[in-house]
Amino acid sequence: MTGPSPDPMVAGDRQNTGRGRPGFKLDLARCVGCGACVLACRIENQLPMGVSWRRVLQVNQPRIGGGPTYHLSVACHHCENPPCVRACPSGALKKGPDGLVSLDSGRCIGCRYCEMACPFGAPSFDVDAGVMTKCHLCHHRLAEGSSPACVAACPTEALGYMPSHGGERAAGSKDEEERAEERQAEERQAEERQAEERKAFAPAAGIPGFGDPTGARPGYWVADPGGTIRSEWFLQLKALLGTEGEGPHDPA
Amino acid sequence: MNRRIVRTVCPRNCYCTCGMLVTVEDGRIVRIEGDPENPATAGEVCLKGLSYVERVSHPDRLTSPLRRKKNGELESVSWDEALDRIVAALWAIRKESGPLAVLHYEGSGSHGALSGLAEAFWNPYGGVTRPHGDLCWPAGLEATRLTYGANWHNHPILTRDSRFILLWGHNPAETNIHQWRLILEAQEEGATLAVVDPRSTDSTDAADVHLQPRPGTDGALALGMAQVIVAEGLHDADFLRDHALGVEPYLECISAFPLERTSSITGLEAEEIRTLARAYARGNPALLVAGFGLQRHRHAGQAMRAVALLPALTGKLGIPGGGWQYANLSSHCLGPPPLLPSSEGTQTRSFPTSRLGRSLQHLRDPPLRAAWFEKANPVSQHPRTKEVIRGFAGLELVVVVDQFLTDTARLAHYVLPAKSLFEEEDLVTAYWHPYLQLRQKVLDAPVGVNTETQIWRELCLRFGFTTEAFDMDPMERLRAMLPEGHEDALEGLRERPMDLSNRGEVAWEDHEFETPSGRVEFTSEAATQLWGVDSVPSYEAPPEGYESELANRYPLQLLTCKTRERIHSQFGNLDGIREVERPRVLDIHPEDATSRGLEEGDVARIWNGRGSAEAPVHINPGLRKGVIHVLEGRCVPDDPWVNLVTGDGITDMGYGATFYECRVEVEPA
Ligand code: SF4
Ligand code: SF4
Ligand code: SF4
Repeated sequence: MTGPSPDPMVAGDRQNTGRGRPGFKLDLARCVGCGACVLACRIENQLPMGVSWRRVLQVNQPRIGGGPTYHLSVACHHCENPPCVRACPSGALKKGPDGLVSLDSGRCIGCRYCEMACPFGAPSFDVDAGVMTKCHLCHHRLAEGSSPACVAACPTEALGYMPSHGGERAAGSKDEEERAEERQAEERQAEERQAEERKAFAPAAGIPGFGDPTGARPGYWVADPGGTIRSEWFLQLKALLGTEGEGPHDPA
Repeated sequence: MNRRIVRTVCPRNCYCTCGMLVTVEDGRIVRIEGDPENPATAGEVCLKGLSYVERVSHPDRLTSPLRRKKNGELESVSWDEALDRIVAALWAIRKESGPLAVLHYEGSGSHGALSGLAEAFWNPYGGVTRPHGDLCWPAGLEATRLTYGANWHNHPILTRDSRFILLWGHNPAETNIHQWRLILEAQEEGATLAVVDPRSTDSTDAADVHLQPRPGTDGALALGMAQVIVAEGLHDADFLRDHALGVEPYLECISAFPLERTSSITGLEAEEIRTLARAYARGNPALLVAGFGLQRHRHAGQAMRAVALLPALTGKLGIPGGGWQYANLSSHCLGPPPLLPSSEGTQTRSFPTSRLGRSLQHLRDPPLRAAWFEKANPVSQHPRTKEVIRGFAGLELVVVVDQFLTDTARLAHYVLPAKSLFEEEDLVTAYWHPYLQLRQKVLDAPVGVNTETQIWRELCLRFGFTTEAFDMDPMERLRAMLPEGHEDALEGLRERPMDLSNRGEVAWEDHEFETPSGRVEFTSEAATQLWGVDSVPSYEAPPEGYESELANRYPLQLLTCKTRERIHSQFGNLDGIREVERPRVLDIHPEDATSRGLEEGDVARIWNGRGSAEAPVHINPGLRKGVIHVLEGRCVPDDPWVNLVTGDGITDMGYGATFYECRVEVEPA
C-alpha cells in the first residue's frame, strides 16, 4: 500500500474546511470480498470469536438482473456526528479531537445501546467480558507509522486509510461560518440530548433494524472506483448507497 | 519480550506462492504479512495465509500418533509403539508380497523439495507402488509443452502492461488474488477484460465481456475463434511463416468450425464468438490466461492445444503484456536431496492417480496390502470416492501423516502427526511467478510432532538402512539441491525470493521455442506418438457432454470449482476462515430449479450412477442453464461430498482427472 490515493468523492471542485476526520475508504471495483481484512483485524486485536470489528457484506449476491455482486468491507466509520456516542449512557464512547471514536471498556456498562444506535452495527459485544468493543483504527499501528491491520492486509488494495477526509465541501455551498455555526448548534443539541438520554438512562427497547449486522443500510459511504465504472447497474448501486440519512459522511 | 520477524513462504498448492514475513513474539506467531521482496505477491498474503496464526496452534492439531483400536476408535500411542508396529507390518508385507504391495501416495497439500527424502526409505525398501499423473493440471501442462516446448510465461507483473486480457476457465479474483490485483491495475489503465466461464464469478463480475459456453466445448470455441481470425485476416502471417510448424493442416482443422457449427456446439451466439475473436486478435498487447477448469475433461489436452495456439496465431508471443499464460515452471530447478541411496534394482509400478479407488481394489501381482498417505486427503479429494473407501477397506495397513484428523486420517490404522510449514526449513518452487523461495524454520515443532524427515529416518533405523541422507545439516542439504553455479544462493534466499532461471521477464522474446522443430507446433507429431491423438488439435465431444447418451438420463453438468477460503479440503476447520466463508451450496439456474421443484434453501440430492451428495439449494441466475455448481471442499462434515459423484476418467494427455465432466440429475432430498 503506497498510502491512500486522493479520494475521488471529495476531489474536484471542493474546498477543504479543515474539519476532516480519519476513516477508511473502499474501492468497490477492487474489493472481492476475500475477508483478509476481517481476519487481519481479528489477529491484530486478538478478538475472540463472536467479536468482529469488520465484516464483509455482499450486495446483490444472486446477481439479479445480470448485475455483479459487490462486496462491502465495513467497520466503524468514526462518524462526524456519531450516534453511538450520543446513545452511550456511561460516557464510555467518545469522539476525540483527532476524530477517532473510541471506547473506554472500563467505563462500559454493557447496555449495548451504542450497538443499536449505530447504523452499521459496528460496535461488537464481547459476551464473555460483558463489555462492548469496537474498531479503534489500530491507533497503535498508526502511531508506528503503519496503516490499520485490515488496510495493510487487503491483497487487492481495495481498502484504504484516510488520515483526514470528509471535511471538504463543494464550492458555492454554504460558507464556512454558516457551516461552523450550524455545526456548533448541532453539537450543542447533541450534548443536550445526550445528557437527557443519560438522565432517563435508556430507551427501553432497541430500534428495529439498527445494529442489524446483515443490512447494508442507506447512508453507507463508498468511494468511487477511480474511473472504472463499467455498468449502469453500478451507478444505481452507488446512488443507493451514497444517499442522504444520518451517515458517517454527512453531505457537504 | 522476545520478538523476531522471519522470512518464509506459503507452500500451499496455490498460484500465488506468497512470500511471507512472520512475526514471532515469545515463541508464538502473532502476525503474518506479505514479503515486500517478492515482486509478484508483494505486500499481502491472502486470507488463508493469515489464518496460519490460528492453524499452527489449533487445539485440533495432532500432537501424538494415533492407532485404531479393535472397536474402531483411534487411541493415542507413543511414537515408538506406532513406528515399531508399522515397521513390523511393512517388513512382513515386503517379505510375503514384495515391496510393490505397498502404495506410497504423496499429495500436493504442502510443497517443498524435502519430499524427495522419501526415496531414502523406499529405495532400500526395494521400491514401492506410486500413482502417476496428477489430479489437477497435467493436460494443460502437456498441451503447452507440445505447443511451445516448455511451461513458461511472462513475469506476472507484465500483466499490468496488457490492454486486452482474456481469462479462460480461470477465476483469479478468487484463486489467484495477486494476479487479480495486477489485472485491476491493467483495467485502471484502460485494459478490456474478457472471461470465458460457464459460471458467474467475482472475475466475470469485473469483465467487459463474459462468454458462458457449455463446459467441455472450449476446444471447439478456440477453433471457431481461430476460424474467424483467419477468415478476417487478423492472424499474423509473418509470425506463422517464420516461427510456426504445420500451419496448413491446422488451417484445414479450423475450417471445419464455421461460426454456425461452433455456435451450436458451444451454445454461444455466433455474434459473441465473432466479437471475442476480433477483440482478442486486435488487442494490443493481448494476454490469454488459461485456468485449470477447461482441462478437466476427457479431451482436455486437445482443447488446451487449440486454446494455446491462439496467441501464436495472432503473433502475441514474446511481448510484455501479451503471451500465453498457463504455468510458469522457471523456478523448478532443484535437484534431489543429496546422499539418497541408489534406486538401482528397485521395483516400481504405477497407475493413473485418477484411478486410485479402483487401483486400490484391483491391482494384481501383487495386490496392494498397505498404503502410506502424506500431504493428501484422497478420501474426499479423489473422484469416485466410494471406490477409494472400498479400496481402503481391503488394506491391512493404512498410515496417514497429517496435521489434523482429515477425512482420510479418520480411516487410517495409524495417524502420525505432521509438522506445519513453520517447523522445518525447505525450498519452495512456484508455478505462477519465477521465484524460488526459502521456507525458513520459524518455530520448533510442538512436543509430540516429528517432521517427515525424522519419520523417514526412524523407519530407516528400524529397517537397518543407511541414514546418511538424513544426518546432514539441514541448510547444507538444501544448498546441495540448488542448481549448479547457484550454491551460494542460499544466503541470498534468506533476504529475498530469487529467480535462478536467468530467462528474463518476457517469455520467448527471441521466438526460440523449445519444441523439437524450434517452432510453435500447430501440428505435433509428438502428440500423436505419445498420446495417440490427432496431430492437429481437433475437437471431440466429451463422453459426458451435452449430446452424449448420458445427457438424456442426467441432463445437468456438475462443476466443482475452487474459491478463496480453501485449498481443497484444507482450512475449513479454522474459525477465522469459517467466519468469512460463504456457505457451501448447490448453485443452480432458476429454470433448472423450478422444473425440479427446488427453491432457495431446500436440500437437494445430486446424483448419478456413481453416487450422490446433498447440498442446500442456491438459485443462481448467473450460471449457464444446464450447469450446476458446488464448491469442492471437505474435512468439514457439513461440506457437500461432491466427489462421491465425480468420475475417475483420465484426460487424453498427461494422465489428469476429469472432475468437470460429470453428468448428474438433481432432485429434492
Ligand atoms: S481484504 Fe480487501 S478485497 Fe478482501 S474483503 Fe477486505 S477490503 Fe475486500
Ligand atoms: S455510529 Fe457506528 S460507525 Fe459511527 S462512530 Fe459510532 S460505532 Fe462507528
Ligand atoms: S494460499 Fe496462496 S494466496 Fe494465500 S498466502 Fe498462500 S500462496 Fe498466498
